Amino acid sequence: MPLPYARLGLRCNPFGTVPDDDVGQLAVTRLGAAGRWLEGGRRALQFLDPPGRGKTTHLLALRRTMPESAFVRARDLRVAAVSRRALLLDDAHLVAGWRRALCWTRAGAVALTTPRDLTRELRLFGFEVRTERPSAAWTPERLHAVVTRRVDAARLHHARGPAPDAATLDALYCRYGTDARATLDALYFDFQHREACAHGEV
Amino acid sequence: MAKCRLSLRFENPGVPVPAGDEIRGIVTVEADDDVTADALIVECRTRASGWGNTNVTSAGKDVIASGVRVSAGTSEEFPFAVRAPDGPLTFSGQLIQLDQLVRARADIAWTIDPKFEERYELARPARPVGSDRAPYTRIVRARRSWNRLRIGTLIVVGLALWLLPFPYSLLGAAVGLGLALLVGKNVIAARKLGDIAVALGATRVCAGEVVPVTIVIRPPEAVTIDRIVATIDCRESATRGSGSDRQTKSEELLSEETVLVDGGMLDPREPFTAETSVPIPVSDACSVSMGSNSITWKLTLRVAVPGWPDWTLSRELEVVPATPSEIGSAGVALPPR
Repeated sequence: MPLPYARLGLRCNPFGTVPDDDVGQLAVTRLGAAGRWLEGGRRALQFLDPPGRGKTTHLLALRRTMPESAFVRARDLRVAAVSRRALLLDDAHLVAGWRRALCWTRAGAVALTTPRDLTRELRLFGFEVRTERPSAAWTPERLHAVVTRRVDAARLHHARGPAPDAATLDALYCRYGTDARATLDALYFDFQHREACAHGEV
Repeated sequence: MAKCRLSLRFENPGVPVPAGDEIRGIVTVEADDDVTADALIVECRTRASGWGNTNVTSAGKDVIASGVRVSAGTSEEFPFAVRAPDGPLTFSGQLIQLDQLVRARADIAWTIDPKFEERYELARPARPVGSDRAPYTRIVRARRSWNRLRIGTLIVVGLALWLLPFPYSLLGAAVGLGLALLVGKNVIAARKLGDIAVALGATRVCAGEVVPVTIVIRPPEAVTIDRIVATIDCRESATRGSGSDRQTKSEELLSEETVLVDGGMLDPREPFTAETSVPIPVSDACSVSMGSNSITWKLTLRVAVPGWPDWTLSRELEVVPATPSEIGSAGVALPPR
């Protein structure tokens, strides 16, 4: 029996959960000079959207452009460890208000993800705030680019892996809209089905 | 930036490696610049990935060379031989993919260590592996459990009466009683079935082997039973995200039923004994618990009494990859009343 997914020319299911270290590499974003903008003073960049729209992916992609920054998830946040270097805070809304306030006073620049607008709070602490909505840039073309990148990353050496056709991706976009997580989930289970078929289990 | 690249090739690429056997291969170090590595390390790793978060565990590492010096523009080869882990086997389920990897790493001071990893298929072991069978016995005293349930129910009812003047107290009492009944379902079932003793010959078994199961029932009075069934379930479960964004999914990989008794009347004068051997289906899905990913095997015994709650007992099994071997029978007896 060959290794899982080897029959499809892949190492693994391209749409599984990607470790944090690889997310930034696989992300398709248009962050542009957001990293440089952040470093320009007391500035805050918030990724504002409902869950599953790619906020954390954008934050991890931003981390790649800012190697000096400190990425931290809400549950791992230690206020005492926050320094003047840029703080990338995931799920900022989950941090208690008074702890957030301490973070904002200590941090030099902040990038954060939240489904709740924190603009007023950040302005109160003297930040110049910029809000990005990852879902606004989630188009069928973006979906196609994400899928291509994921499949390429999972490709086994130089094998030709299967890729969903444009019609399938358009149908997924119509069905799930800007919910990137649900779209990638659907693709994950589609590939699981393909793998099972390749093994003759279906 | 590292000044060298690593690559790794197995002696027999594409050939499954039996669990616990030796893996041989060659690590090649190609240098762009003169490089000195303190050590060249080869490590066996198990990676669980898929729908959930990725987890990696190490199954041991070996230093295959120390003080490695490679000149610019040249390459050097280092043969290695490491012992493959005993499990889990290479597996692809609906939510979890288990991969076995060999990773080569050059430990170079003041730089990010260059690494290279290659997958291989870990197959069932060629030789039988001795395992601790870990038998399991459970004796349930119906009278003692019933008394405990009665006390618990009395406390809940007493609390409800005490809180009666407060709003929603009746709702609270109803929820409390419902919970008591849910928790005490087995006790209510045992009220009719009497004392029950269960023995499993092994809780650590190999796929393809059998688990000897014995159940002894001593009813206080004549009782009719529908059937006694043993069910083997295997489920994979994966969690992704963290904190409030945490999601867990689980899928049934297989479920097989073995009927011990298909209807009958239990006589109160002598204990009723049912014995069987429940086969563990042959599968590459061994018991695994790796952070966000797990595969669990469970054996559930169910005694169905018509018009009365079922008596159930579940026990997790540890299914290990090994060649089938014989297991002794499970014996159990009820102590005197």
